[in-house]
Amino acid sequence: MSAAHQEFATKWGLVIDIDKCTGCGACMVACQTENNIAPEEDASNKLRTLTWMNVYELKNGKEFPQAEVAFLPRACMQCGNPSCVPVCPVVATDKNEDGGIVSQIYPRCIGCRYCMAACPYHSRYFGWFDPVWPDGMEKTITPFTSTRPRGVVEKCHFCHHRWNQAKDAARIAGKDPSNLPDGAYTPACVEICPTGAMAFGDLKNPKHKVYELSRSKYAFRLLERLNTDPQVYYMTKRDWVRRQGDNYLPNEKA
Amino acid sequence: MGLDRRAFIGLVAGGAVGTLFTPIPWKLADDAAIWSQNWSWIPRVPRGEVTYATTASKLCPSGTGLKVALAGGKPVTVYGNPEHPLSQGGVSPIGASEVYMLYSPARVRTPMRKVGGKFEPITWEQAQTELMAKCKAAGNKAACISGDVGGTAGEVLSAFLAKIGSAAMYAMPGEAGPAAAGFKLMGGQGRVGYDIDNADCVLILGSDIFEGSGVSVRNRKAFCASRPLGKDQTAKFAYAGPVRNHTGAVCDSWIPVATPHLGAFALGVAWHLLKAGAVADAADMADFKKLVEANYSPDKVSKLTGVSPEVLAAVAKGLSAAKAPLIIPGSEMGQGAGAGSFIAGMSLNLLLGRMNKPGGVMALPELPAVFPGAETPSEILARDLPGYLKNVGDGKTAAPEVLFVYAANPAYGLPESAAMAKALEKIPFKVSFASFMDETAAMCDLILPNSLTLERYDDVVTPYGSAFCSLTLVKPLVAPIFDTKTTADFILDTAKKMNLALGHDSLEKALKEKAAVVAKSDGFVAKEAMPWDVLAGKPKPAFDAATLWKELDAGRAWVKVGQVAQTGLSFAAKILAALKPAAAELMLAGMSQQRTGTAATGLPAQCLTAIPDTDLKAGASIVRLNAATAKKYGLSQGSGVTLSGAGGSCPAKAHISENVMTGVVAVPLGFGHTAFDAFSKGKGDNFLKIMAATPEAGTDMTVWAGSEVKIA
Amino acid sequence: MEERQSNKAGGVGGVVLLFLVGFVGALVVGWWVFPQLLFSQKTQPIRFSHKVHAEQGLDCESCHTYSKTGQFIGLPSTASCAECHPDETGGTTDNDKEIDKFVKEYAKPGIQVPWLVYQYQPDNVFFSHAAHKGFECATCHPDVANMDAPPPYHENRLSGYSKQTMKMWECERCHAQMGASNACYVCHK
Repeated sequence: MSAAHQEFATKWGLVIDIDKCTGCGACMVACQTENNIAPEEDASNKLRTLTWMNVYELKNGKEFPQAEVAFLPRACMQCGNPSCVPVCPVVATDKNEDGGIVSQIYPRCIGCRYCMAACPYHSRYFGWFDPVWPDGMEKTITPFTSTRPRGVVEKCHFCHHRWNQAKDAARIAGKDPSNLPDGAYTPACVEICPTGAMAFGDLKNPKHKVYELSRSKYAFRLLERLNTDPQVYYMTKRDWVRRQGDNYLPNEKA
Repeated sequence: MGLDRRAFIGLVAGGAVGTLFTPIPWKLADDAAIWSQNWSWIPRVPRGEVTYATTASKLCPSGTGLKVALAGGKPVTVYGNPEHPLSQGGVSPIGASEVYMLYSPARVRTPMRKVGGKFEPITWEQAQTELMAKCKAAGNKAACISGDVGGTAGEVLSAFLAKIGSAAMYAMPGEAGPAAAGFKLMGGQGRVGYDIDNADCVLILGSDIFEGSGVSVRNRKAFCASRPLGKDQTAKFAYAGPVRNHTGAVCDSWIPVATPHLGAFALGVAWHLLKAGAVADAADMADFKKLVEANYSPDKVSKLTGVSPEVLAAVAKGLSAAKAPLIIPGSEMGQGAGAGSFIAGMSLNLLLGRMNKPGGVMALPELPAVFPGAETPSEILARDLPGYLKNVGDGKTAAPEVLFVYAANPAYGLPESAAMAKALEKIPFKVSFASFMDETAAMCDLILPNSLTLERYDDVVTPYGSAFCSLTLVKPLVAPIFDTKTTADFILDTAKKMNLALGHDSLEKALKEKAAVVAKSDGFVAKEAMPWDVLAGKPKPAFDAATLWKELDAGRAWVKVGQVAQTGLSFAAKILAALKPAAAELMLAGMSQQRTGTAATGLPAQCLTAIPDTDLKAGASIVRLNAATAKKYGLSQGSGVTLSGAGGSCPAKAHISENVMTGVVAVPLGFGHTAFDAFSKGKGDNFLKIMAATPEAGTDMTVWAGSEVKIA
Repeated sequence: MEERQSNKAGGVGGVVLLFLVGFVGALVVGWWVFPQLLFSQKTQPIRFSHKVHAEQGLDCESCHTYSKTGQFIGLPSTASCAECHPDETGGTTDNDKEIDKFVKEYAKPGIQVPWLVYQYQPDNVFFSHAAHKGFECATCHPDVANMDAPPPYHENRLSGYSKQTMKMWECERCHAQMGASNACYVCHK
């Protein structure tokens, strides 16, 4: 179990431009099909669905016609100082790998859901049901992420398998697997976004575009003041969106 | 000698202690733990080499190229093809469903014939025999409703219908229909497309271009390119429509206008442009000017639409000041707007001189047909399907004897469903080529299931809204999983057997011919240069016609940047003069979202989680209205409400949203299926059924966007 | 009560003796009988002879290759075997008969051979052969290069895995010795 803040040589991060997200949900669908999340017949009960990537609708709280709407895709923040890791009684989740992706090992998880209680972002989901694919549809299960039985917690892992694939491709090509070029490793959601609202890369590598983007004046993180040090940055030019990134008092500056 | 108690205990104790020195307890515990993790009913992941193959999506109207991941040769998931101009890596939720929908429980697995109200499986030979007999008996009294008229497979149906002597080929309604009809009425030649990449000021009139309308993925990529992350944006976008929907959410401003008033709004903007001296080279320029000055002054437009005179003036000013303004007309729900509304919006492009200019409206040529006798997509799209069916239902038009339904679900996807069902019931013999058991297929006498996208050859040709012509190959990545056939091949075979040979033996051969024909027409393969760069002025890359089929097979698109010169384009002032936008107390605005699939796909299983519980909750549809509208009708957050129109009614729950204009109820479309499978059934209601289909004054084209609704 | 007394005296010795009998018996059962019961023996569907193929001049990489994405294709596909064995030989030797069996049951119908993988790892394990390129194959796999027949496959009846499946501690130990990371996600998915 890791103690407080962990620093690694590489830091995988996401930058999401809220001003571009149209809320279509393609990222949610891509995540599900990539990571073997079984479809559910009644998905309107949001307390039971598994949505590692989830898109929220934000409102500016004003009346028509000053009303505005924005969409915020939320995956796992892969916090630098994760709340979920210290509370796991069996170390099924840990932040111990270069790159900073918080791991979630399903066979080790006992399903106590303490990590879910600890996570302030609602990024973690509990498998209430055994995954059931309609007859034949289990043939579309990918080799990338193992299938989980009911009773364990799961969450976004930045499509970690794609990092492994990128490293292997680099090794075969005789290149350095620990120094991947920008774009060699991209999660499914970032790749599929029809608008191109998301960017992914090593926040510490100046050659990756997320390096500059995360340092932009328009970038902010959710609930920053909790000191979770998330690795997901959001960008917006709108103040009302930025203000929803934390629990600001009416007179506080965002 | 017997074992006494102590000896026995000694033996057992020895055994127990000894067991501790063996692997038994530790191994059993370990293996039992593993056994409990590997229940047999949890599927395993596949083993085998992971490879990638390309094709294009036929389920999604945006025509994206796809990159399919295969494990051990079986497709497992799909991404956008980064090399394809309509995708650039992006895919809509519908395109993302292409792989797993192969195994949708709603799939029709074998040809079916309706006997005594129930379906029974039959062989393809039996089906063909019956179909030929019915066609022979019907002669030329056949009709076809198709959801895919642009591609070569669409040509097959059109050519077949032409060969049996019928002109009743209809397309399911969308944005392309009013555009085709309207542009024709304006004397325009070619198909309209919008060059968003090179525009710097875009006014969107209703059209949900960043969600489901036209080449929505391409549109979004163009939008993204106009605002590089962290830098200044290069284009402004304004959205005029009744709801601040997915498109409106990202645009710089929202101008609330009810859909039936979008035309008036456009002409109100034209009033300002004319005042500033804008002039177009059109025969009826003077008539148009007179008409606008007389009827669309700021006060009149403001009174009708609710848009303030200041906003009207500001919009006009923005367009005039822009170097490359672009106006994109349409409907907020991707269907139901009229040709008149399109013409009014297009008149702004004409006034600003945006026809066939970079960043403006591109009039594209049709690709040459390879099946003689097939009509062009524009001819088919311009026909009014709801109008036709309504007349059939009312007895004003004779019902055809045979109806073919291809890639379409008219029993669900048309307005005034009750009237449409009445019409369909009058047709004695109906054949559906649907891949899924949809509402229309359930009504048909014969279902001849089409193989799905990944199982067949096909093509995607210049989807509506694209600024350039394109041809993309769809190729099979798996053998058909069930007993299905490629409809085009089946029709070609049937036609041959009826001595009406259409010209090619198979769709694959026809596609090769198409590539060969198209290769001669001055295009290129989108590889190093993308068509929008060429539109901007970059030189057209070299093109080796001999390599075209190979490039298409590798997933790349053939594209052509070139427009049809306009010789007789006018404002259709006479039609504009006849426009009479309806004013209703409460209007419907449809929210057409990709996550609810299309009428022909139903709700794709993996898209259900993307549907928020503010659209659907526990099987009940949720409609949106703002606080002012709600107050007027005594509603509050969560109230039950019954919406009625067109002789039908839909129960729903109310959700207060200030992103809906006053006097409008926004309703989510794609729900209320009564067919398909458990993923689609029993979820909400189909609001198309309460949308009244009425003729548009001036064009007589059926319109239903923004129709009147009553709260019971 | 004399009998009982004499029994008591012999009883103590008897208890100790029987304790030892039980102890040794348990050891025998635990170390010999138990593995026999726990593991079932299976044979490969085709008696593939590595020795014969090595003698033909084929080296390991000819059939056990990397794809261009870096994925290791440990089990050659039926198609690649069929490149050299497309047709039946019609011969009478054991080897010929085995080739014919392969062609008839797998090559002609185009079905993949359901090879039993000695190092079969669970679904949640990710192993990168590319990362371990520097090691000899025999470091982890049985050295089949000189075997005329594949070794018997011992399947654990309870867990379903092979007896030779490397357990986590072996991977961890070598990683620790080599200085490679032992973070969870290095090997799990």
